[in-house]
Amino acid sequence: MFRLKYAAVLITVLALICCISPLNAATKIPKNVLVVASETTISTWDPSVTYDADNMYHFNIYETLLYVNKPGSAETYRPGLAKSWDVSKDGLEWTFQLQKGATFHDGAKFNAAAVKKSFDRSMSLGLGASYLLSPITDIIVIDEYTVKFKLEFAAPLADIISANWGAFIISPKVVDMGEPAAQEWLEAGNDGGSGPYKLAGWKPGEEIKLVKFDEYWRGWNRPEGYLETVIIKIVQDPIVEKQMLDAGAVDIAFSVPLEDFDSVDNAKDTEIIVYDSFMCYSLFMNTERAPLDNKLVRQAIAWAMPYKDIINIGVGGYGIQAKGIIPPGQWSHKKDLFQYQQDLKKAKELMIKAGFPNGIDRALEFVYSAEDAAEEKTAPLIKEALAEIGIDVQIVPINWSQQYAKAAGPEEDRQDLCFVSSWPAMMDPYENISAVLRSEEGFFGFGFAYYKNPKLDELIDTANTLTITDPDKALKLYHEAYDISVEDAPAAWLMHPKRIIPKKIILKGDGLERHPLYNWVDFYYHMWKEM
Amino acid sequence: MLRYIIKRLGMLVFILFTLSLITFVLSRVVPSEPAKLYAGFRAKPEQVKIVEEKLGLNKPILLQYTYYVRDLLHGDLGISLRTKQPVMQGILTHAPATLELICLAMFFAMIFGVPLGVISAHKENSIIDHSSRLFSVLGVTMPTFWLGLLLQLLFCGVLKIMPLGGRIDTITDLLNPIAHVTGFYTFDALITGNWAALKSALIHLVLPTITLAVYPLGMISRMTRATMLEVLREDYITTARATGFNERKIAFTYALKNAMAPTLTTAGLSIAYMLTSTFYEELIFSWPGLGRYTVYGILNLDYPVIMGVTLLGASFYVIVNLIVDITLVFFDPRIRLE
Repeated sequence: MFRLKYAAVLITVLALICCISPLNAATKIPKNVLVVASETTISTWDPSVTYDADNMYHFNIYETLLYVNKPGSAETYRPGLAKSWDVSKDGLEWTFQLQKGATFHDGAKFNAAAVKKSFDRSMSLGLGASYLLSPITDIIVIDEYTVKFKLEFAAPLADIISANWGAFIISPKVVDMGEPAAQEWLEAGNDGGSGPYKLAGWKPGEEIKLVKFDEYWRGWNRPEGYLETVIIKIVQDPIVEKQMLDAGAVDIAFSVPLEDFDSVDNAKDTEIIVYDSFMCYSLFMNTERAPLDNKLVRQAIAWAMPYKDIINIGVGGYGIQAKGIIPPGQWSHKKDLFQYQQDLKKAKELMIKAGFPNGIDRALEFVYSAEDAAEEKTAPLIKEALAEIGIDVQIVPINWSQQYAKAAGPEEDRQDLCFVSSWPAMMDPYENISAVLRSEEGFFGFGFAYYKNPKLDELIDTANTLTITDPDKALKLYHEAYDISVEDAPAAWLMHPKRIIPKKIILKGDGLERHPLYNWVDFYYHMWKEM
Repeated sequence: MLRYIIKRLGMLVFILFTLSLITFVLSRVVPSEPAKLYAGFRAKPEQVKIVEEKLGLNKPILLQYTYYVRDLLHGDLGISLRTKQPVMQGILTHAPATLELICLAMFFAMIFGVPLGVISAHKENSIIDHSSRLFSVLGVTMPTFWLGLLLQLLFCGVLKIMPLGGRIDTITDLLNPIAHVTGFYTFDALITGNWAALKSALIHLVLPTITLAVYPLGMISRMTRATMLEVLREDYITTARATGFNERKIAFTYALKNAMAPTLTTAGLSIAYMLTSTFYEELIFSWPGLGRYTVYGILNLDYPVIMGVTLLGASFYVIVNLIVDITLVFFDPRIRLE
C-alpha cells in the first residue's frame, strides 16, 4: 500500500512536469480566427427580445433593413437587407425595396414576407425593445421584394429600424414554430439569422463561437481575407483581459484597466484605438425629495461639479464634457446649449439663495454602480466638491441590479443622488430624453431624477411627431426641451466618455467603429488580420 | 445500514424544505425588481406587467411558494432572470467544471495530506514535523482568493509558464474540440484519445487545483497527525513494535487505518468549504463553473439561481457527509450506523 502511494505521487508529479514542459504559452491564433475577451454574457438569444449589451453578438448573426452611419458621414444610413426606401410626404408610409439573393442560415429565403413575419413577431411578443415599434400599425407585402410600413404618426422609422433592437430579421421557419416554441428553440442556443456569422457553439458563461456563413449574400471576396471563426471568451476581470492580450491569447480585450492603456499602446504588437461614443455619465438628483426638490439647490450642485477632474480622473482624459443628455453626433444635439462649469462661488451663492446658508443638515445618499470603474474613481471627487458648498454626501457603492431595484423601490428607500451611465437606444433623440426625463408614474427606464415637467413632456412628444414632416420645427422644440433640462437641472450632465479598444496591431478594418450608438458592438465581417 | 441511509435521506428532505422556505422568504424581502431584471432595464411598465404575469410574480406569496415547491418536486428550479435559461440546466452545465476541480483538489489533498500527517506524527517534534505543522496552519489560514491571485501573478504574470485562466487553450479547443461525455475535460479527453486537449486541460487545472487544495490539505494533514499520535501510543502498536514489524508497516498498515475516521470526516467537511471557495476562485481563474454562475446570480439578484444553488449545495453537503459516514464503517468495524 505504501509503495502504491509513493507510485501515485511520483506518477502525478511526472505528469505535471510533462504538462508544464515545454513552457506553457497560448497557442498562436491563426489569421482567420478572431479571439475576443469580453465581459458581456448572453441574457437572451432571441433577437426579438434582446435589449441589452448582448446585442453585440446578435449584430453579427442577424441583420436589419438598414444601419446608421457614423456622424459626419455623407449619408445618415447605409443599406442593410433593404437596398433603398421611400417615405410618403406625410411620413405615414415607408416603402422598402429589399436585397435579392439573401438567405437565412437555415436555408429559408429572405423576402418581404420574411420581413413582415419578423416584425409581427417582435410586436406581438411585446418584450425587449418592441415598444420602439409601437408607431407601426400595419406591414404590407407589396411584392416579393417590396414591403410597406404604415405608421400611426410620422415617426422616424429609419431611426427606429437602424436601432436594430426589435428590428432584427429572423428566419420565417423560426417564426413559424410558433410561441413559445420559437423562443425556446432560440434560447437553447440556435440562430435564425441571415448575417455573416452563424452561432456555432455556446458554453454558457464561458465562450461563444461564431463561424462564417458561406452563403452570406454580400459574399466573401475581399482580397485581404476575412475572419472565418470568431471566439468570444467571457472574462469578467479587466486585469485578466489585459494579461490575455499581453500573452497573445486574445486579439481584442474590451475591458482593460484605464491605467494600462498606455502600456498597451506602447507595446510592440498591441495598440488602443479611440473614438467618440454616445454614452453619457450623469449625476441624477431626486427631485421629489427635499432639498433636491429645490431648483436652486440642484443648480448649485451643477455649478459645483469638478467636470475637468471627472474627465481626467474618471476616464483618464478620454472624454468630453456633456452638453445636456444628447451627445454630439446624435441628431438635435444643441451645440450652443448652456454648459455649467465648476464655480464654487456661484454654487455657494445659490445655496444661500435657496435658504441653506450653512449647508444642508443631513447627509445625502449618493449611490453609484460598484462595477463601473469610472464611477468608482469619480465618486470621491463629487463628494469633495459638494462638501465645499455645505452638502455632505454618503457614498454608497452597490451593484447595478441593486441600484436599479433601490431606485424603483418605495419612495422612502430611494437614493438622493445617483450616478448613472446611459446611452441612446436609437439616433432619434426622443427615446433618449424620454427615458431620462419624461414624467412617468413610478419609475421607468433611466428616470433616476423622478422628474415631472408637463411642459417638457409636451415639447418632446410634439417634436417626436414632427421629426419627419417638419424637422426644423421638431429641432426647435427639442432645443427648447434641452434648455429646460439644463435650467431645471434634474441632473448634472457630466461627460461623454470615449470608446477605447485595446487590440492587436495586426487586426485591421473598421468593424470596431461602425456603430455610433452602441459602444460595444463590432462587426467582425469588416475586419481582417495582416500577418 | 439501509435504515440509517433512509433516515439520513429523510433528514435531507426536511433540510431542503426548510432551506427553500428561508431562501424564498429572503428573496422576497430583499429589495429587487425580478420582473424588470427579466424584461430589461428599459422595459416599459406594460412590458414589465407581461413578465410579472409570465413569472407568476403578481400572485399571492403563498401561492408563489406552493408553485415553487410543486416545480421543485418535478426537478424544476425555475428560470434564471438574467439568462432566461432553466436554472437546473444552468447548474448541470456549470457543475462538471466545478466538480472536476473539487475532485482533483481533494485527491491531491488526500494523497499529500495523509502521508504528510503520518510522517509528521511519526517524527514528532522534528524539523519535518514543525514544517508540516507550519504548512498546515498557513494552508488553513490563507484566504483562497489571495493565494489564487498570488499564484496567478507569479506563474502567469512573472514567470509566464502557466495560463491565466479558463479550462483549455482557445485554439487547442478549436482545433481539437473535446467530445462531451461527462463534462470533465480531462476524463473526456482521455477516453476519446484527444491528447492535445488533455494536455491543455491538465495545464489549466494546475493553479486552480493548488489554490483549492491548500486548505483541505492543511486540515487533513493536521487531523491525520493528531489522530496518528493518539493511535501510535496504543498498546497494540507497542506490541507490534515488540514483535518486530518495521515502522513503515506499523504506521501505514496498522495505525493509519485506525486513525482514518476523523480524517475522513474532516475531508467531508472540507468538500463543503471547497464548494464555497470556488465562488472566488472561479472568478480569478475565469473558470466557468458553479461558483462563477452563482456569483453572477448574486450580483444580479437573480433569486431563482440563488435559491437553486443553495438547495443544491445543501444536498451535496448532506450526501457527501452521508458517503463519508458509510465509508467509516469499512475503516472501523466497531462503528454501527443506527
